[in-house]
Amino acid sequence: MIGRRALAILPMLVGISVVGFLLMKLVPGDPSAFLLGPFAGPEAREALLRSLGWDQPWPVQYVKWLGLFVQGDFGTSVRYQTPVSEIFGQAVVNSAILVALSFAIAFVLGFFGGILAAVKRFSPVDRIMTTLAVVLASSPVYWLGLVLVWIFSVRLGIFPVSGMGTVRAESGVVDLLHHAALPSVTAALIPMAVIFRLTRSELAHALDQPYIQAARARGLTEASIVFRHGVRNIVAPIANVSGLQLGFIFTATLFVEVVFAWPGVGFLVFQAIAARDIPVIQTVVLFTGLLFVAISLVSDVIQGLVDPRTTASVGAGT
Amino acid sequence: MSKEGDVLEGAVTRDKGTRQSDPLTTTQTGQFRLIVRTFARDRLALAGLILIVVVVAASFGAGLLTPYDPNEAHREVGRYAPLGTPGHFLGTDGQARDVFTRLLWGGRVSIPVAVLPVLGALAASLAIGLMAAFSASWIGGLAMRVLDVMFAFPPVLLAIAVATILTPGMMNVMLAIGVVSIPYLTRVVFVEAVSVRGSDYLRAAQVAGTPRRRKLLREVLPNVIPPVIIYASTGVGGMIVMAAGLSFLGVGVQPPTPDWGIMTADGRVVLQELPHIATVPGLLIIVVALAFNVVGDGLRDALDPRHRTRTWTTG
Repeated sequence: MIGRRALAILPMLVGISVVGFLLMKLVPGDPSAFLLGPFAGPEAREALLRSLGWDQPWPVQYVKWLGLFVQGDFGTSVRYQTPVSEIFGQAVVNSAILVALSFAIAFVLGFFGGILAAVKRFSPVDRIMTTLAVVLASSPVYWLGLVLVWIFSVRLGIFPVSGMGTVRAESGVVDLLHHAALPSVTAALIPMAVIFRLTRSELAHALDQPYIQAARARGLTEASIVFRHGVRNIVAPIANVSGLQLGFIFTATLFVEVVFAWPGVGFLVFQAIAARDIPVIQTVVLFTGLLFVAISLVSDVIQGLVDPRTTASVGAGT
Repeated sequence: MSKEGDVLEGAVTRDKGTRQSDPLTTTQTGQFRLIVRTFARDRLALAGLILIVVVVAASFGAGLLTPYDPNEAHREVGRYAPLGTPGHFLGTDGQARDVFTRLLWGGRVSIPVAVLPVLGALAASLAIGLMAAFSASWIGGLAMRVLDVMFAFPPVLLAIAVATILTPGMMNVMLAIGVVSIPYLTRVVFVEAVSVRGSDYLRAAQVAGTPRRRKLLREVLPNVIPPVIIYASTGVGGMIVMAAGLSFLGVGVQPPTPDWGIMTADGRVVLQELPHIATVPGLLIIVVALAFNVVGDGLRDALDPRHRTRTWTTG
């Protein structure tokens, strides 16, 4: 089953690589003029095009480009004049720290908050949490970041405004977490709201089922009813949506890294946009596509493990 | 077309003369009134709609509400005049422009920049989705495969890629938002259209020899449009947030055009001294986006009696 699902991904991968290739080809402006400067003659231009292989038809160029890409050669950054792979690698590590922290925060708070709200349905606590979740889900990520900076950095002075570590100080885990606190919470807020809402509505629905009444009638403790009979039945949809939220957190970090000057992939893209650094943008777009395909594959597999009934339709789903 | 089909088709055309008293038409107006009434009874949705109307009216009536030009520098009060400055109750920004005026004019940009492309995407997705579901041509199938690939990219990144290819600017942001909306809306159209395709009433229409055009207009469209409108009206809220985000990143609407995303980005430098410059435009974005969500929920309840459950209100 997993094999068939993986096979269905092949055309997706081809499509993603074509999008990445076209991104490079469709950008307006003559790249040779950019590389050679305004005073180069037509001979120099032709020589350059030939040396880059750009005089060949697009399909040939695509295959050659893809060959290099698969080997880890993502081109040279226009802005830094170094291989993209060097800059990109460090940025991915920095972003991964942020994404992992955010996901942990979003999942733990969203999931357990949702359970609390479902158990205490229609109570003031539930109403406050639900309203907050609705407002958060409609908020721009960067705006949430600015508000958190204003409250916790400007007013209270608890957390640093930006960066990944203190300059001229021993960079330890504590210092890193201190700097990561605001950005990771910012990126976590919206996915947290989504996971909260889903957990609340799914669990509330599950707790209305007859088997819960039966469990109550049997005199089970409330904790046992909620966790062993309620929560167990909602694991599958929560796992599925949480997987999708991992992708959302990655998008959110685009904005969060700009607001907090966190040297990750988002910050890299932001700088690349300003410098029209196409190889960098291309690499990020391609890897994001791959990441999203991987997330959906893993989430389908987990879905199948958690809820065996869905496995039969997994292959047919795409 | 078979002989029986022709006969039935004739019967249908003859019917047209008596459309005025056609019981079907009267039920439809009754249904419309029911939809409006259900929507109006939902006080939250109505409040959302009124709020959208007020914000849009204030933006387009900006000339009446404020005496200033959005790009006019007020040297008499200077840069960064604080809140409550006489004549400029929200103060001025880093170029001595009136913040309140720019907020109003910003609505003219920030709202249409999301609404218009979603409307365009709605039309495009109806065409693509219906073609993929009902035409035997390979083009529809290919279009759906292409859209599947687009699903693999997060909308914001796809929009950044589109805006980068086409150089930043208002038209290209709208194009980008339209492009990223199409896969989602088309999937809704396609799923609904496929479920109609397998329905008994469509088969009944088929057996009755209803012409293809009439079948699409009278049987398929009325069933496909409500869900996609609900989805689009909720999606507009998200797209307003995204459009402002693209402006914030510098790939969207370009300065000096007043836009809520640009205003937030500009206000970052004075977050410490004058936090309202960066935060008030964001508040407006949230309020408008929420209003569109609430209206979408209200429409869902009004248009689709099967889904009378609210997605988020306590109930």
